[in-house]
Amino acid sequence: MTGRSRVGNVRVRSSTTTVPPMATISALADALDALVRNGSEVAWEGAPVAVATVLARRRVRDLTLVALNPGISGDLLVGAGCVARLVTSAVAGPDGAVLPRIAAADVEREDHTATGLATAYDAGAAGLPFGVLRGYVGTDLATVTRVATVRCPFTGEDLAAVPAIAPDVAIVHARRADRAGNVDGLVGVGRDAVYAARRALVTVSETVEELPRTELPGVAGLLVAEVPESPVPADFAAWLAEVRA
Amino acid sequence: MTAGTSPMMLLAAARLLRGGICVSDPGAPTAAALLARATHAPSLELLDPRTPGFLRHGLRRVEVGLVTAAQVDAYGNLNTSVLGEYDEPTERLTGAGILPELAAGAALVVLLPHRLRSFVERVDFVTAAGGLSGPLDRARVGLFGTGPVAVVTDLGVLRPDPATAELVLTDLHPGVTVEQVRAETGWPLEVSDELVATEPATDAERAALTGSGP
Repeated sequence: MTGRSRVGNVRVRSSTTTVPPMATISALADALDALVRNGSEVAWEGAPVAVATVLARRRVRDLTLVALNPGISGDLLVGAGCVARLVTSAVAGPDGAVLPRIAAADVEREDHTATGLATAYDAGAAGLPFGVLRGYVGTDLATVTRVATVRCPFTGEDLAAVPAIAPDVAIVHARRADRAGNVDGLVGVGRDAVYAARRALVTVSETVEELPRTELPGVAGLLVAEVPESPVPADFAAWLAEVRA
Repeated sequence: MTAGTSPMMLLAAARLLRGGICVSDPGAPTAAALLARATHAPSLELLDPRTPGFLRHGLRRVEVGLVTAAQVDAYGNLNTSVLGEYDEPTERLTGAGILPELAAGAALVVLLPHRLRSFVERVDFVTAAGGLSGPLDRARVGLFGTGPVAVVTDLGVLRPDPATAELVLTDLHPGVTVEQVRAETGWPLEVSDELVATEPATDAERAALTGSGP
């Protein structure tokens, strides 16, 4: 077959695929089976509802979910009993109201600021043990969560330090991908979460023929799955009982 | 319009905005920002916090934050984390998000319906720092940004008194009395010597509010 690969900045055509593809297009269920285990630490940045429903069907347990905001999909995952620990900065739906299942859930919590989590992903992506920011100052969060003070060796200024996040898996959403697995239209901290994680799945709303470049170069073993917009089951408890029967 | 939000609240908040780089919470705060941009502040730049790189690099450039909270206290400290004790809360709220760093670095306009359960003497949890406990506290802990400049409600506007850092009543919306405001405030609310009445909506503001404007 005719494969395409990149050598340095030069795009080359080869008659045989000598370089393994950087990203593999996968069915969602297969990708999740390959990536998510009981007890996995999962960065959850924009994962669509379909990811939560597949994991709920699989009865995945004891996940640590790391998310700036788990959103409706994360709320379903918690409601399905898949999550033991939540590391978040916000738990709000699109309307700004608190996510109901998470608000009621009995799970271990680690609360951060959005900037704190972004800094922790950034540190994880850079292979550093912790990240530094100006943050948490004057707040009660500083007294209840994993944040410390470090002194700048150059100026002596006190700064906040957060432990790096280097999750087992990142599940992030992007607008689209092409058939070679190039990705475009990541939002938020999606890119940082992918580089921080050992493995990653990018869900996309659309697959196109060819994109000029990818926003995730050099990520070995990246999986990409096209995931159609799927509605939240109207009666989630009944849906869950049915699929697990 | 969410419960407790009034047109006067949106107007009073919008009028505080001059322009500059802004982020806003969903709901009433964003409505106020859009109202300002549609009327007297067309240069207001409203950022989307979901833009890649915003949290690490863009947030520190934000000049104005329009936000809401579950609780605000006499010193303008804000709570969006928990009601009750942190370890055994009676209610879990939406969480910190960007509020702490916004309150640290930007000027903050807080929009919150004026109810006794929200206007408390001391917040259950300081998610974001207002004046903490007194006029020198922000500088003492190393907060050099402006922080909360106004709490705009459906009854009036409260602003921190520079001498005490305590929120005082500075504006009263039409038809509202000081007694009404005090009845919904959980601390002995001082009234500014320069208390003013909120001006009614101009034609342009009314048009923008009803969506018939430009």
